Parts: sequence; C-alpha cells; structure tokens
Amino acid sequence: MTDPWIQELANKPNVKKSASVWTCVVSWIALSACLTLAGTFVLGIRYSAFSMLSMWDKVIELSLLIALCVISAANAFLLSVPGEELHFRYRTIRWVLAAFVMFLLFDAYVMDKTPLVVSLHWGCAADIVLLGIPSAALLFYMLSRSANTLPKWSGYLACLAAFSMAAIGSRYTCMDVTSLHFLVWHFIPVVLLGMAGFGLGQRLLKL
Amino acid sequence: MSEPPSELGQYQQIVKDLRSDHWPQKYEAFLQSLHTFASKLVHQKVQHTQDREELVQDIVLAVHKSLHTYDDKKPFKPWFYSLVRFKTIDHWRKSKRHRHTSMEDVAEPMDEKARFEDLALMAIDAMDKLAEVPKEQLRILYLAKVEGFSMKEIAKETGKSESAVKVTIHRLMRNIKEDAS
Repeated sequence: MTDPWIQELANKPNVKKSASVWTCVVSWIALSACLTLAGTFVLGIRYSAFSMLSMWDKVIELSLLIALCVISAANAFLLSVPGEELHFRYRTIRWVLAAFVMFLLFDAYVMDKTPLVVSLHWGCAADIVLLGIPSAALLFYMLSRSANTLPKWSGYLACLAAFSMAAIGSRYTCMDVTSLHFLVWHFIPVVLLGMAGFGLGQRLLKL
Repeated sequence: MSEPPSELGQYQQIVKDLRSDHWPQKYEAFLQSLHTFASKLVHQKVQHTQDREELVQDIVLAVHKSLHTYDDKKPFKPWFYSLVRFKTIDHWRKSKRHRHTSMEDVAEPMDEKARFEDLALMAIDAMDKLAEVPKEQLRILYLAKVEGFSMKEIAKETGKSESAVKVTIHRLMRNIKEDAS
C-alpha cells in the first residue's frame, strides 16, 4: 500500500535528466560574459583592451581572473549534484586566491614603478557590484534548480565566480592599471562579495 | 547494510527505464521503495519515531525534487547516500537548534555533539563500504568483531587458514578506516 503523499508526488514526476555540469558551466560563462560586456559598454570603456593585452603582467592577471571565474563556477555546479561534492577540493580555490595575491604583490613591488600608495576608488568596487549582480542572479537561478548539498559553499563559489567575471569587465572601465590598485579595489571586493555568498547560499540554495 | 547491494543497482536501471518511458505506477513504486530503504538507513540514527518519519519524508521529497540531477550512467548509491547524509545532518542541526531554544538553561556539550555527528557520518561511510564486501569476508568480520570468536575458531568455522583470516580482517578494517578518514 503506497502512502498518499507519495501517490501525489508520483503525479508530478521529475525524472528528465538535466544538462551536465560542464554544459551548465559553459552556458553560464557565455551568458554572463555577454551581460558583463553589455554592462562594461554601459559604464563606458576607459582603457583599451588591446593595450592591456600588450603588457605581459596584465595578461597573467587576466588569466588568473578567468581561472578563478571558471574554477569557482565549475565547483559551484559540481556541488549542485549530490555525490559530486566528494570531488570538490577547497584547497584549489585557496591556492588560486593565494597565487593571485602573491602575483599582485610581486607585480606591485617589482614591475610597477609607481609609488606604493593606494588612493580611494570606491567607484571600482561599485562597478564590480553593478556588473556582477546580473551574472550572480543568473548563476543563483541556475543553481537553485539543482540539488545543492553544500548550499553555503555553492553560494560562496557562485558569488566568487560572478564577481570575478565582473572584475574582468571592471578592469576596462577603470583608469588605474597598477596592480596595487587592482588588489585593493578589485580583488579584495571580489573576495568580500564572495564571502557574502555564504549567507545567500544558505538562504537561496537550500534543497 | 539494510538492503542487498543489488537493490541499489536496480534503482539505477529503474531511473533509466523511467526516463525512456514514464510510467506513474513504476515511479510511485520507486519512491515507496526508497521510502522503505531510507527508513531502514536512518533507523539507528534518529530514535524518535515522528522525527524519523519526518526525516524520511524529507529524503524522499529531496529525491523527487532532484532526480533530474542524477546521471544514470553513474551508480545510484553515491547520489542517494549524499542526499541521505545531507538531509540527516540538516535534521540534526535543526533538532539541535530546537533543543537550544527550548532548554536554554541546560549546558550543551557542543564538542560531544559534533563528534557524534562525525562518528555517525563515518558509520554511514563504513556501512557503504560493507555493502561492497563479499559475503564470505563479511562473515569473517562479523565472527571476529561482533561475535568475538578467536582467529583459530573462525579459521575452523570457515575452513580457511588462521593467517588468511587475520589478513582478511586486517585488510577490511584498513579499507573501512581509509574510506572513513
């Protein structure tokens, strides 16, 4: 004899297989890149993308940002499939963040010949928030349709991915190209906004 | 393990069948069977009958809501046990919070509780591991660790040499410890 509530559930089946983790990652990256690009145009590009790519240290900086974005997004989607959390390595994110800080400090001390003074640039942090909100909303929507067994971590990784994508865009809306400025007004806001994701994940991504 | 391992392999096939051709009665039977299986799994972990039923319902509901995330090319077991583990921890957290609000004057031994949760999770992992062990080896382990027979007695009972019994137990325990750590 089947329980009545199970009979009720059986009338609304949910058996169709959803897209794979990698399909979700690629879709989100493509969509959020378009959103960020549109946002960057709206905010106004102040620095030439081509001149930025001619500096090798800025290319490394951009590559690290892309790596952080892809690794965070991939892990966030990985955590949205039960059983896959066993493949999640907290250390990978920590290593990427640590490598980023080390590189920026090295670049600031060794490569940049400007004085090591950081002026206030709240505008850059605000740009990251503005550019990151649509991508974060999209990612949270996609993740909320899955089954997050570690919602706090999913939220953290989602925010980290979305706001690091925004940081890529904000690099072209900002006039200051020095690494120290990037560390204080771009990288640290991304990490802090990522931490806000712990609370958001717990509230929005709970199964 | 409360169910034979083949049962979980069957679930993988059932999900595949359901995806190729949906049949409400089959889906209903699948959920009911998971309900029974989940109640057996959480039986030792939640003593209170009403709480246990609530937890089992949560697990079945979670399976129903997130079945689309299950990749039927992979085994069903890790996917299902992950949901059970997550829901059980969630249940413990909720009940701990409830105890805190209703018994504020009672000092809660936090470390002990956390340790208990860890131990319970390790036990789930150990049970997972035991499900994969061949029956003969499981019998040897049972005779040694539950019944308390000596190596000599087990060797006589199973018709194996004493050293073979020792090696079997040692390897099984090592595998379970490695899986739990």
